[in-house]
Amino acid sequence: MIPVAWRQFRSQAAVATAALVAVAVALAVTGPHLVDVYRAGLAACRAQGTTGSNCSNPVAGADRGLQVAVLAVVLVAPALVGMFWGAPLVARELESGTYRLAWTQSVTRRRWMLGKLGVVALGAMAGAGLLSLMATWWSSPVVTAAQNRFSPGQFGLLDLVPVGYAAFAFSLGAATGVLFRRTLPAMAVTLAGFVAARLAVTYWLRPHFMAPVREVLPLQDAGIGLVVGPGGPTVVGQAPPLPNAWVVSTTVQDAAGRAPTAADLRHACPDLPGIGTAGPPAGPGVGHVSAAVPVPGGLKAPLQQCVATLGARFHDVALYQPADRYWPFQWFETLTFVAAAVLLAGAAVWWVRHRMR
Amino acid sequence: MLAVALRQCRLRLAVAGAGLAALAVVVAVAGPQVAHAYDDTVANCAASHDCALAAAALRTRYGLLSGWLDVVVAAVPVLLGMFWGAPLVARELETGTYRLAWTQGVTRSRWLLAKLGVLTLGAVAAAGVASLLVTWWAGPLDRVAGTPFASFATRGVVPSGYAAFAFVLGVAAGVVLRRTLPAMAVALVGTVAARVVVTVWVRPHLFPARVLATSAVSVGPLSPGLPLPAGSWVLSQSLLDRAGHVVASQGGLGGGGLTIDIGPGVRLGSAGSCPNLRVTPGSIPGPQAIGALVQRCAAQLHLHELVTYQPAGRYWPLQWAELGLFLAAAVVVGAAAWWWVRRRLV
Amino acid sequence: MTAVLAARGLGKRYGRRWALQDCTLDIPAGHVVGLVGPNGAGKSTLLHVAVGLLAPSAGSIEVLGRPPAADAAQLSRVGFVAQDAPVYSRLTVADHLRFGARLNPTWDPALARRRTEDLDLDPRQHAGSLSGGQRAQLALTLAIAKRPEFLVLDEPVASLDPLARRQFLQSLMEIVAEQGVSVLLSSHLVADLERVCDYLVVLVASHVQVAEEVDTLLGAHRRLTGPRRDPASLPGDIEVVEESHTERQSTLLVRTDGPVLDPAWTVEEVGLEDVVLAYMGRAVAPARGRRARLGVAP
Repeated sequence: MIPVAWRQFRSQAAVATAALVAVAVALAVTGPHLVDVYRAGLAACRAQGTTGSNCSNPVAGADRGLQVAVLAVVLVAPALVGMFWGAPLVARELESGTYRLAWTQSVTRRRWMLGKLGVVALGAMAGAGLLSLMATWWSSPVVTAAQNRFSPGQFGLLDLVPVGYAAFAFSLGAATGVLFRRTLPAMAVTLAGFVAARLAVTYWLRPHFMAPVREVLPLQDAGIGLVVGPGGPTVVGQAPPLPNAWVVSTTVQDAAGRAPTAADLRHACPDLPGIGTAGPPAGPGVGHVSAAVPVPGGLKAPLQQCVATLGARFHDVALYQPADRYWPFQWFETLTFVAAAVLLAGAAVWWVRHRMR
Repeated sequence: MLAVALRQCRLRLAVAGAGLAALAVVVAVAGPQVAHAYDDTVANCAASHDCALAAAALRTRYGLLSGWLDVVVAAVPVLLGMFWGAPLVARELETGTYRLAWTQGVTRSRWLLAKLGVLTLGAVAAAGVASLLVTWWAGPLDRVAGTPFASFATRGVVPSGYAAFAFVLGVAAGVVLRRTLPAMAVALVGTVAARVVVTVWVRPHLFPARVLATSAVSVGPLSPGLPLPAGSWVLSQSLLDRAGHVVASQGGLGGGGLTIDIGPGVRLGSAGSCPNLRVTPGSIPGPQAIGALVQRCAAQLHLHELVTYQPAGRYWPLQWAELGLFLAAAVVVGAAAWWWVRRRLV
Repeated sequence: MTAVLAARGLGKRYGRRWALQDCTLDIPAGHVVGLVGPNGAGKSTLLHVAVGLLAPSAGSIEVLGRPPAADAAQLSRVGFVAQDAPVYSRLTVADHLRFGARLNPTWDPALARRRTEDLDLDPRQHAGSLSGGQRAQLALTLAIAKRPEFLVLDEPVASLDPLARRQFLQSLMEIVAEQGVSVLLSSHLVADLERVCDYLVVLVASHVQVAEEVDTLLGAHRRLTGPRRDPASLPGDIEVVEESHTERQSTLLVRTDGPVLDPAWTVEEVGLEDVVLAYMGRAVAPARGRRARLGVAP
């Protein structure tokens, strides 16, 4: 059965291989440039003495169009697998009547289904794995600079989870193909179902896998930014120094949970006249550019004084998933989707064996 | 024939209608929220001098929903090309029902033109309605955006053009390839490629870009330092030194280009430094003061900016021009498909 | 003699419509059985149930003594050629043979190769570009090369031209002679069946009307032509299958075990097609005063 399933899958595998090769070539050609930009940015920052998240590495904006393209390809690939490989798997045989040839050979329907499902599922997962590997390698300078690999936007496009997504989308496609017996409706339902599943897991399941850590951090002058706006300078709370963590929320508040008011700031920072209220905290991966201007050298001491005074009463309360939980989360999500894929595949096999008579 | 075509497309039009209805519900629920948020914050921002922060807050709060709605508007043309266009002729060829359809009392020409006509209009209408809904919803957000061109492709009339093109491309792919699934793949890839090509290489040049050479130097992209009309679409921005060599591109100073250091003296990255300019001690320099300092240093170093841009006033002419471009492309591809069906599919 | 197919009260329902109802049938081994009936009679349904593509809604069926498609071994013993001979249009002829070889442990590659050569099928040709006759032959090769005990064909020649039809049926007869396989073949073209079948089942409106050997069938039926008479006046052992009257003449198609001795009648033998048509017509409009007599296989 397996060689037969492979023969039927051959042309689709060829198209996928050609696409992967094209992507590989494109990434291999443009990858080194990103690495160079990243390293140059690092060197420049080191020369100026800024480190970590204070270093705005120009790699974030380099080849921006290509970055978006790579993200889009990894995002869309599992859905395409589900639509073009999963939905037609059985539905095409049902539509064209060739199931009457296939199911009267000397293999039981179960073996036939398992053979077809297995071969194409393996192909889908291997292809998704390769694609994810290449994309993760290519975008590692950008992700390392932004330290946002754990953020909701990036998490699903890196490392292991695309393999789980591809398996799930494929199984979903096969199951809907068996249920609807027609390819086009199955493709549409697969697309909608996959999008819904991804959204549901990202926003409702993933945050609850492990309870986030709640930590009360002291205010640091790296944690407070001075933003010079049209109305004068304001103090903006910035993300605590938690690189590569998934920061769910961060608020500057006192023990009672109140944010600093304009009066508090004026009281605490007498050497910084005209200071206003704290604005929304900026965080890694949120995506908007802070319009910060570097603090003039002569103001560094008063700012530190101000922060020390404020820090006696106010703290940075951060709710986050620590960076070392990244791989457990990856495995959890991948295995969840693979388990769902197995369930759907089992349902499809059961349906073919018992209900399609 | 038109009546027959309408009847056969009933289910497709109904599904599209249901999708648009769902979108309308989402927009109707979320629209007033955005409007209220806008009225509460940004409308009064001039008084409290924190417009930039209010705008940023609005963007952060509704950025996710705005992103998803944009995805929906961008996806509609591609989905129409795949699910309406590719199977139109290809399915008939695959299942053999063309032998029934093309031996009735209408020529295949008329058959194809009727089906193309009905569904192209449907595609244009569907994409138009989706774009209308999202454009209305995103009105407040677009007003606080730096430039309306940031969301060009998912507003106004261009999505209708994309939809017409994608649909007709799908039909043509189905006619030539004779099989639905490969035609769907071609429709997907072809539409995406056409969109990318037009966005990156054609749209900036549909009208001749204006060039601004100024000794005013920006501290970051689109800072008020540059004498550009508000809301302009910056195509390219480079900082040149006295000899005309490019010192920094894509944002000039501070925005991924050179880093500005204001300590003792002013240092503009690798372009040079002005040790003689100093900050008045004991005060926090506002953006005007910093801007003035940077400006003076740049003048000292003989730096100037070269900016190519499209002014905001060109927004609607560009919308109509791009719509016309895609409609014309749709007509060409449709004519090719029609010719192929008449002459080559014998 | 064992039965290759034994159905008891078999029924199959789609929603509320019964495609096959109360079908009791015994098909003996070693025959080429023709299954004939009008379109919509349930022939395809019966065959699909026999090969395990459909499950019965009522009653029971056994093929070669076991439930259809019970396991891989059972699937190996039954070969099937579906209506319109579906093949994978993008696979070549050689691919199809490989397909059959892989999926059937009892596959005989020499037989498959010989048949392909005899039929002049180009192994590298895509099955989608074969003519209808070639496709049917390819499907027959796939079904026969696994050396089944029972071969089932669903209207295999319905869409073939007369020459292709004749060649196909000739191939079939050669196979039967060579391998001694039992065949169940459905068609609504009786003339073709007459050439190859030695056992006939007539299925009308999902009920079995006739099931017996062709020789016996033809031997038992006569056409009587004579002056106009009421069929009720005939002796009891003559059963009227079909009658037609003009003002002065009656033509009756009757079934009788013994000779018809009444000199008023002109007695003729009947062709198979006329017998079948008579039974098909009778099922739709039963003859007056006579109950239908079903032929039950021994």
